[in-house]
Amino acid sequence: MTSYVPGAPRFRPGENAILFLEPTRAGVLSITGWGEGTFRIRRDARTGEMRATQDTGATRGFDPSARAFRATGIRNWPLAKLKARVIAAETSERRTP
Amino acid sequence: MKKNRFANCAPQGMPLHAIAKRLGDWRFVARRSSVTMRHAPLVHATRRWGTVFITICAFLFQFIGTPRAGAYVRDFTVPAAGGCPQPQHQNIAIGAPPLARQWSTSLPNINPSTILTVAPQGTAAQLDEIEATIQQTYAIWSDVSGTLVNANSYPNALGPLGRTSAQNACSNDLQTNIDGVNTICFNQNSAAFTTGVLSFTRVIVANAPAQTFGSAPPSVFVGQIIDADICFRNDGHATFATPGALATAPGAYDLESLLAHELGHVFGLDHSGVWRAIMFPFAPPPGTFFGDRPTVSAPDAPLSDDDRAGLRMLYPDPADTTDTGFISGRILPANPFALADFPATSLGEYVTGIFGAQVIAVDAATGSVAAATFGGWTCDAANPPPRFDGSYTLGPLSVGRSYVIYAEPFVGLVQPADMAGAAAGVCSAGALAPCTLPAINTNFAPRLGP
Repeated sequence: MTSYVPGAPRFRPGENAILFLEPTRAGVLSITGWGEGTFRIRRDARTGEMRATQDTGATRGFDPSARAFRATGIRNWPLAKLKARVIAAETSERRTP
Repeated sequence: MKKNRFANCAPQGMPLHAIAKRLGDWRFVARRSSVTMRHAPLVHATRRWGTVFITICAFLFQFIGTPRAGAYVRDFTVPAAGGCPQPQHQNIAIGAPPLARQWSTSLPNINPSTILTVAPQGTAAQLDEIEATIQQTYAIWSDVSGTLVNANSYPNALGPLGRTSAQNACSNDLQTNIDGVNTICFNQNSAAFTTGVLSFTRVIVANAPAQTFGSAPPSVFVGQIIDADICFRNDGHATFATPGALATAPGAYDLESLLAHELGHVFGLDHSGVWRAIMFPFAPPPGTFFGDRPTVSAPDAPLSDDDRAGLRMLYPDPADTTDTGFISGRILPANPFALADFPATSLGEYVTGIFGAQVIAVDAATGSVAAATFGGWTCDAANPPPRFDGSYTLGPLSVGRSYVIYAEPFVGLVQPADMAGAAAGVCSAGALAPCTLPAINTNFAPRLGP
């Protein structure tokens, strides 16, 4: 038997990822926004730098009107840049009453 | 899953880094039985099915960024006994029993209401209005011509829409309560409802014939969807309105649009990369709906041609003489040595093409997306497992028309596991994996065509 939910992130053993989690009414932690809260971590084969790509950033839609593939979200950011962004956002959140 | 792209906690508004690069025009003309290429393209059309008259005008590639499985996407299941991956779909066939379906009349008892209708809350008229919306939404799919789901050609394909008063009538997070009835629930709790998630479909699939799960009837074939249940968010963080109520509920999501999307999952479609497809994973903003409303003359109006092509691929009508054309070929790197470092995906089998390309056919006359697919592998039933040779097949397409092909090879930074279940299912077979999904060469260097 196979069970799946289209759109839900899938992970492999040993895979590196940053997940944004939130508590649910069921009392467990779940991934915020599924693919939006999932950032896959890769090591750049050329530079050795760790980079992060948001699952929804990996989604490239085809815009029929523009005849082009387009994407949004975080794609191939240096991991340090993502962490800095998160810390900045958290700091900003704390300052906001 | 249908998500709200406008209300989530993930960082948004990042600059786009995508740069489209046009690799030149390759015009090749299909004659009745073969395709003649006048230049050496990166996409090699190797064979042709049906009687489509094809004029492929141009290929548009984007090499910067991270593509994923797009377009209409089917999910696959590897048989437990081994063999080629089989597409997942419902047991809808000539002579098969009607598709069992029902909905739970249990609605969230919270204020403000979660399901907005023209009829007063808590009345029988409200339930009738919701049921009418469900029926109309099913009709969106069952109006698609050239399929075994079509209500006009096969009026018994779908069983009557039943009602149940049980709150938790859908399969749950523990994957129990599998009953073989495709159920819609508006008041079932789930840990999956995190920020931004509006609705989802949980799909249970057999990987062998004669399998039984819960109280569902035994499976008939590998890849059969045994049970596909839809859950709508029930905690008050999102409201849903019937088409009649949407105009006076600007903060609500269109129930019909979301349900049409989830029913696509029930029939076996995964998410589409085509923005205007009903299977695109993001919901329309509150107060709006996807595409067009269904009409008496065109109940399937909300769908895109990509959605229709996906349904025809899963449930082809043998009597259909219009949508019988296919375009197939391979996506290959300009430099074949770029694939040299890929390890074998199974004994003696190496990666010989781009895996995970999305290829899109646009009707040259109308400009609409006629069909699209996710490709990169083939499997010979007589000689499995899958081979990752960059193969793709587009269709079914209306014959006698011209199409422009757009393709985006899967080169870059995303691993196949990031992609939709269409990729994940190609090699998965429980403990006995018939192949290993190829890794991606991050050193891949894009090149302009000749």
